[in-house]
Amino acid sequence: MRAARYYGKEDVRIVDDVERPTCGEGQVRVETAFVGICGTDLHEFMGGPNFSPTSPHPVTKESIPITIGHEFSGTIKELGKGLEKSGLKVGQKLAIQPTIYCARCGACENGAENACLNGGFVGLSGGGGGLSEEVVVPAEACLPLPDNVDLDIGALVEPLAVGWHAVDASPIADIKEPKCVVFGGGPIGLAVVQVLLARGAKLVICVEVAKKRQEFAKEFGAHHVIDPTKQDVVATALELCGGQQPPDIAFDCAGVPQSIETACKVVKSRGAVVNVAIWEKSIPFNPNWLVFREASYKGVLGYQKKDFEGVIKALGEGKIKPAPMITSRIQMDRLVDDGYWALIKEKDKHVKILVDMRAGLSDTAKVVSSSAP
Amino acid sequence: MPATTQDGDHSVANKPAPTTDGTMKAVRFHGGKTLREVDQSQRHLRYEDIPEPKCGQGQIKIKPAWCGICGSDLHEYLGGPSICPTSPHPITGEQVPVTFGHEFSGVIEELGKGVAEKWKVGDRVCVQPIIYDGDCGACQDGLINCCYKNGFVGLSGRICRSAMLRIINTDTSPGWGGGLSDHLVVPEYAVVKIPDNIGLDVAALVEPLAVGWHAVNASPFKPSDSVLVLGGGPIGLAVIQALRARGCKQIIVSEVSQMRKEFAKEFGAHHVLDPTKDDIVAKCRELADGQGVNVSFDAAGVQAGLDQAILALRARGTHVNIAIWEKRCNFFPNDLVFREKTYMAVATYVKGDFEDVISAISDGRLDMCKKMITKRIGLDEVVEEGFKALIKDKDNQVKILVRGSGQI
Repeated sequence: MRAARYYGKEDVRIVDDVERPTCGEGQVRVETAFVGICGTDLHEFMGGPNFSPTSPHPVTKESIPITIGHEFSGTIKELGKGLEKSGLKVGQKLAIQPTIYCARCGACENGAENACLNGGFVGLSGGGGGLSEEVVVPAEACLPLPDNVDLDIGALVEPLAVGWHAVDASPIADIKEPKCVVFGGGPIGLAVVQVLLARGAKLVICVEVAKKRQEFAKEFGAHHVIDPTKQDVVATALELCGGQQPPDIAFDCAGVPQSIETACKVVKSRGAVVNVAIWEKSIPFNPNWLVFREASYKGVLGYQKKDFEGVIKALGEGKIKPAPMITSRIQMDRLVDDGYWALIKEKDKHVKILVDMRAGLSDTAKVVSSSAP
Repeated sequence: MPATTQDGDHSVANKPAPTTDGTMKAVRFHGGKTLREVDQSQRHLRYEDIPEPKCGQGQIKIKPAWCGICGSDLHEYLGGPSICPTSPHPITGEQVPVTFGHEFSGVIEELGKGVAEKWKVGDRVCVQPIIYDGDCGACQDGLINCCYKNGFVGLSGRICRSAMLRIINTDTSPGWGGGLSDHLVVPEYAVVKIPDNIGLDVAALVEPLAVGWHAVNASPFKPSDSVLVLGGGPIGLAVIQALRARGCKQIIVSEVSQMRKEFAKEFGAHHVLDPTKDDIVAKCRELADGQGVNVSFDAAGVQAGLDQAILALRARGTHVNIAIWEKRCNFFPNDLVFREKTYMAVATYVKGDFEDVISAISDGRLDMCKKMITKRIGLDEVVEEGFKALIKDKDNQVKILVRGSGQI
């Protein structure tokens, strides 16, 4: 079958000879629909394999070249044995949770499979990927979409789940009228903004340098946008919170030395900084930024099933309306030029570029699979 | 969350203490060039005569009995002023010279107007040295240690009525002072009574013990946890004692100096590791179900320790920073991200910590603490036998206590 494969730095190829996966017991064969490209994909493309395995991955046993695409939706084509009572049906619309975990390390045994010592993602660690005609995944990775949520939106569930997980990891549930600062207005920052609003945050401030991204932040509902090159973030945020008590929580979705320092300094006493960003290198840090206000700084990674479920429920109820995140739709043959390079060269112009896996298929196939035009 | 402050009118008690015509001895830090930049004279830390204070409204005058020297004092002396303000602090109005001494016990010698009836001259007390305003957002949450305008008796001195009132004669006015003096006056809210079964020398240890106590309280520590403590100095030992008092199943300590390793073992560490010889990360994993420790406490404040602690934690573990750092460190946030770990920081103590520590000393849960006192000196010997001894002979000392005239 046809698939996009990652071979190394700046080397993604569309190939036609990838073996179709077998669908075993407890597994589901998914016909892919829409696939998003993520910052991590871009980092692997630009910088060479860092996350992708260069020696056999402990769980998938694969190493590059691997099929890519980890933010995707699809429909059920085949159910493996033993899933009669699963509630899953052929033809059902799904978002896929691409988490790979070993189920036997300390993290897995303690309910933190997203922090698995041997973990990974479908589409980044082997195990197939969304940028192929079909993927076989365990039944638990299949999250059905409600009728009113289309397959293209289904491909946004994964990045939104990153935001959901980050918000869940914060102390937001214990705060009466949460006031939050989100550093970075890229796709993940915007995901966090949307989730915060859906979860009832009283005030959401976005800190972003790029003009277009500032506009996106506003469009997605941030109450205020601060340009850190023009305004003092700490002073302005305090003022926006009423001048007495600084913001409760900061989310670092930018991952640069300035964002971590400012995030630590912007929060109130016993405030929480949630780091969502993945960093390129180590940075100078001063623990005193946390000390004087007894702040905490927590790293979060990925998501768990509850986060996918939370996002899907919110989408079904109309609490999150992420459609404007899709700034371009392309076909698979244009993946590298209009996908990867477009995001690399025109970063600020785009939020999410989706690959429409069924575009260009015959009409019969289209009728069976996709829903929204 | 600690109890909210309900102290009433801080602004009155926070006023500068009036002075008498008499003078008294005090050890004051004058800042200026660092010790490394000028000769080794006593110019920066001076044993000198300054005006003796008396009580204002809502204040209590204390004769210090025993006063400890702390790492923060040493840092100021060697490399400061850093916490001590060098220009009038916008809120406190204080600046160097500042009388040192923030961990001390004493005896009440005078009561200002309006203080509660429970206080009597002769009461044996220790002082909780945080200066706070009581009405900022942090104080209202009970977090006096994070008061947005906070100060410290013995490090930033007095609070001014308003920032407009610049102190002109800082050289002569004692303000709140510090424990390294013959007398000092503090607001009533800073005074904590000690029971008869606790000696005044041990009472001078309450402050550093409260630092360790608070760190353990503020962390997600549970008694069944495996815990790593970086550093076996006074604060590391305070953490070890607090963990032991709270029934910690496994205390692992990382320390380089021989003497401090022995102290750590004596104070209750189950395992003592040497980072120059042992693979701390591997050992911690081995000792803790192959996963790593649940919580780590940094009472050392050095790069290598931080790196090791973060890796020695299990997934979703928490690293607690107590140390104040001299300079920036290198930090790779991904080390937290990929296993969802948390890095939190604590500062001093909050309301209730002093009382809890006193209780634990009194009922025997903190039964080792007297062993922290490794040397006793006079106020006139502070510079040579106190500060310089700690600098030269750091590893063989835990707490050096300075004898005050209030000592019984």
